[in-house]
Amino acid sequence: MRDDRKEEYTDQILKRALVSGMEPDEKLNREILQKWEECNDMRKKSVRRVYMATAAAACMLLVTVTAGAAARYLNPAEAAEKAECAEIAAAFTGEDALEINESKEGGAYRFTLMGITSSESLDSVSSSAEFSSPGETCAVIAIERLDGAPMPSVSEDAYGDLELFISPLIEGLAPWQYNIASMNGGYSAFVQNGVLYRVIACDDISKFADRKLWLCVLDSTFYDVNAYRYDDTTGQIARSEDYNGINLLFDLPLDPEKADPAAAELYLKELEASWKSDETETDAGNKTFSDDMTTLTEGGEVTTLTEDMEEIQKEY
Amino acid sequence: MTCQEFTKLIEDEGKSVYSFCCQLTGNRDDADDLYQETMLKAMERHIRIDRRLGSPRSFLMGIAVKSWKNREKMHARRQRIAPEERIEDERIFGEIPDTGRSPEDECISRDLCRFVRMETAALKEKYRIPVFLFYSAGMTVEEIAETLHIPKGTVKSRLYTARTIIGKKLEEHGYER
Repeated sequence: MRDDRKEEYTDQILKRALVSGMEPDEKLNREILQKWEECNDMRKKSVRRVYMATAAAACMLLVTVTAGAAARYLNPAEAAEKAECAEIAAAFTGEDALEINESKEGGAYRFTLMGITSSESLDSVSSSAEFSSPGETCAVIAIERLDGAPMPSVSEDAYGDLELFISPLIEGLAPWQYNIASMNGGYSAFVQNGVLYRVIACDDISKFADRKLWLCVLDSTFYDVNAYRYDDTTGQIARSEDYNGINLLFDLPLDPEKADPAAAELYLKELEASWKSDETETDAGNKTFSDDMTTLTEGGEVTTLTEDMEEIQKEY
Repeated sequence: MTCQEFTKLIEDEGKSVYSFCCQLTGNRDDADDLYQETMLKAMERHIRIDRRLGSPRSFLMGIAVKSWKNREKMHARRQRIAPEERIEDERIFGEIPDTGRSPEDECISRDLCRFVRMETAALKEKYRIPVFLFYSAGMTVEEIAETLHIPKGTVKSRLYTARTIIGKKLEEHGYER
């Protein structure tokens, strides 16, 4: 049989053999939903409690907001609250919160980095057994159209017209490798009074505060290597002037005193180990491929077909 | 995330996640546990950040893979203390589609499927997981890449390698068409 026919045949057999018609039991799904409801009720109570307990602090912070910004935008805590991120909202009323309110224009939009906060008390997505340093860094970004037209709400089809990748970047770490996607990040979005708010969160980067930190905003779903230049000798990241699109870069003025080089080093080790855990084999002793993260080069994807063929040959 | 959104997530993705859990664990009881753990972890995380980067399916599968690996580590520890044999539960596989062939051919086909499942289960983890995600959970190469944090090209090459290994096993055992 020819090789392509063989592969097609195997593909068909795999499709037949591995399809599982099993569905989760109705009862199992009901149990999960019940637990969801129980947790949700508890969350609603805690949101109210946190909000009331921190109301005084929130009032004090409001004083520092510029009058124009206060009139036009929600403040970061309000935005996080509105995004149903109660813990982040509470963190924005804490003393570690920084209100920035810096605007930059890109394409037909104005992007305002409203504020950023890092807190160990935030229960990071990565706060599992794999990571020893808990906490998250969160930022709120307001996006509005320069022509004054309202931003489409997240439920409108037009919302998808503007793809955005908003992520912290760290001096000395390759931006295509270390960004919000790899650092266990995510975001919430909503539109209020025609302004789109994004509340982003990822693993706590304040431990890197002795380095230069940036927030990139680019018009892409994922990080685009063409949008920024990374100098691997100096570790500096800069906008690519010839990039055809939105590629903004905000400075993140985190307090250098928050830096913890030992924790940063440990975090990088753990993060890289978590990537490798997807790659490495449990059956030690066999040849394994090089770490796939190293194949994420600026040039894009690198396939490992040659290595795979070596692997197949070793098997036989 | 509202209750309706969470219900919809279960409706939309529950079957794929469950199929994948079935393949990973090899039996329905463990699959139930892994599925529940995956959905509840997703729930906890979505409560605070409700729009994860990328597709919800990749997000869920990523949680399933990590939870399963944690369970495997614990299982490995238990195995060292009190080894137990893994028993594959045939119930986790759906009915093989009726092709209208003779009972004898159907019997051979069932044997063939069993053989392929056995050989797939014996693949190294880095091949086995993309194979399950692709063939059992019905994910695209892009979604698998997102789930496993590896480039699309690597996913393609792993699927190719897995197919080649299984194809050779089929040949060796006279299952070649």
